[in-house]
Amino acid sequence: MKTKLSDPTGMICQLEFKTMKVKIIHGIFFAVMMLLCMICLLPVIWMFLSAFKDTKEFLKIPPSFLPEKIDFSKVVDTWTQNSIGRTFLNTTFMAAGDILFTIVSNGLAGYVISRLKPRGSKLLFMLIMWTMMLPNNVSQVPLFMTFTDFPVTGWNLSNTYLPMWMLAGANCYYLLLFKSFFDSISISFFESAKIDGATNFKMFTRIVLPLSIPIIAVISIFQFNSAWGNYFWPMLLINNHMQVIGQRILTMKGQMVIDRYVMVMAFVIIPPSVIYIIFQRHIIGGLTLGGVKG
Amino acid sequence: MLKKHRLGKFKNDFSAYILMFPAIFLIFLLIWRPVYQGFILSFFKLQGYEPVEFVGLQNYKDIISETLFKTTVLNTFKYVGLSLLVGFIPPIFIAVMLNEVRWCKGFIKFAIYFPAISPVIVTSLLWTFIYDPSAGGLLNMILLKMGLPAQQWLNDANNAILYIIISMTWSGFGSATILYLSSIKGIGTDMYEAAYIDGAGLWARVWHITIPQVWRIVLLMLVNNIIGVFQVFAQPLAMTGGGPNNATVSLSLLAYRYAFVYLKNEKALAIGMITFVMLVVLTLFYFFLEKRVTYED
Repeated sequence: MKTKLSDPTGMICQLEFKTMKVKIIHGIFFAVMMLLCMICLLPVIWMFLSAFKDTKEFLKIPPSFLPEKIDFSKVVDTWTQNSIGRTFLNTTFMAAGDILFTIVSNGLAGYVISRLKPRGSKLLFMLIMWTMMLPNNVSQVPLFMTFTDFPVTGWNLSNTYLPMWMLAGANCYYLLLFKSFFDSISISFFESAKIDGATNFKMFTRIVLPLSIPIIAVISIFQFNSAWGNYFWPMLLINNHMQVIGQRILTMKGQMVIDRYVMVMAFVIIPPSVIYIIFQRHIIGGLTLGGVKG
Repeated sequence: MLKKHRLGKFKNDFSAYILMFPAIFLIFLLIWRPVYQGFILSFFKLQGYEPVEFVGLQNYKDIISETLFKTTVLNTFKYVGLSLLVGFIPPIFIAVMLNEVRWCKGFIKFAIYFPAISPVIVTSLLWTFIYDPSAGGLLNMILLKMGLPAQQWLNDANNAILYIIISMTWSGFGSATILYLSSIKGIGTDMYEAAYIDGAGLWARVWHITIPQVWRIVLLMLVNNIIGVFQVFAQPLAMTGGGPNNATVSLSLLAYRYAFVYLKNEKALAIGMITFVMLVVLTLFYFFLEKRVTYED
């Protein structure tokens, strides 16, 4: 297979590319891109390298870029002494619940609004869209009240992941993504199923679910990433052994030696990075799914 | 016959609403109800979370007369203004350039989006080390190597917001670039080729073909960006804690502090409502734009 050099989307035409002037311009563009890549990757690389320095070396003047020696026992020590394993497990558990809630709740609602269209659903959808971008800092206090003294039942949901899970289930943006995805499924699938007498729920599990594996995958990845960095409600609600990594990375600052802290940060970045490396195509494709989303 | 049909329709609607129930319930409970509650409670004097006395606009008057609130509003506008200056335009041109580059395109895309995948809370903390005012900070290390004096970075009250914005740009420009890139890709080579044959230079092609194509998305992103930065919270919380001397406190951070640090919920609610009203105006504008964009497409 030949490597594709030409790119069919650019404004520089094939013919023009042979002229010196355009070649230089292309070279400059390429150099700028390489510089950008360096700016993007250097801080992360620096973090990983610095994690291996000991405290003395970390604060040494003049500082060094590469660590003097790579000591893997420090990795193990930092991991076990701060019970990172337990925290990662907690966070994964929280993320799994987030994913389940977001897929079930927003997926079903997206399906209903897109396909079943019961009376009043249009109005409801408009309401949901209007509230999608509402700022959340006015609801901080009422939400805290809701979570610590649940309406009607009076439950206190602190030290559980239910608040985060429920919030994941009320994600209007993913609801919109699901709806526009279901809009794009051909209608004939549904019609033939209806003739065969399938119920709404059956249609969802037999037809919609298998077809929507790609969008479920993309939303799961995004939801995992956002759960991995979730710190706000955990910080306010969880204060026992159920703490997740987003809040712990905040509280650990200043409680640890600097080089060990940087190593913990490196630990935290590894899972999303690995996911990104594996699913790069899906993630970058997923970004443009819903049109515009910052 | 007709009756039976109606009954069937009703049954169908009913089961549809059952499928939708989880989302509606959660959206009602966690999005709509809290806004309403917050609005009502902001007119009350609170004892903990219990309203004790209706005070009308007193909470608002109290908060507006505070100097810290004034500083915070100014800071928030500074965040928004600087983010537009520093972070808004570059992704457009980066996308234009990236679209032309013919080598290592996959790697470049990978690297550009890399900062965006790590949690914001971690990247903010990482940048506090990059901005470390001692000689061991990454930036000071580079400055000293080049023979330049070390900087105070986040301890410098005048420019701390600028430095926070730079770190936010670092983690956010990748997704903006990817969005612009996918819009630019939609242009196709035909139009460029035609322009080339007509003798249009590269700059003319960018100005007359590329920019008009992405223009509407640029507008949407502009409003989106303003709304996002207006609510900046994680970065000042993790990087400066609002310091030095409250120079980086944002409206969201102040509301958070009133609610969960100073435990003055009525003031937090008043700040929240004020931000809310400012943002609703922007949101309306966003929907106005988005409607036009989607219809014109």
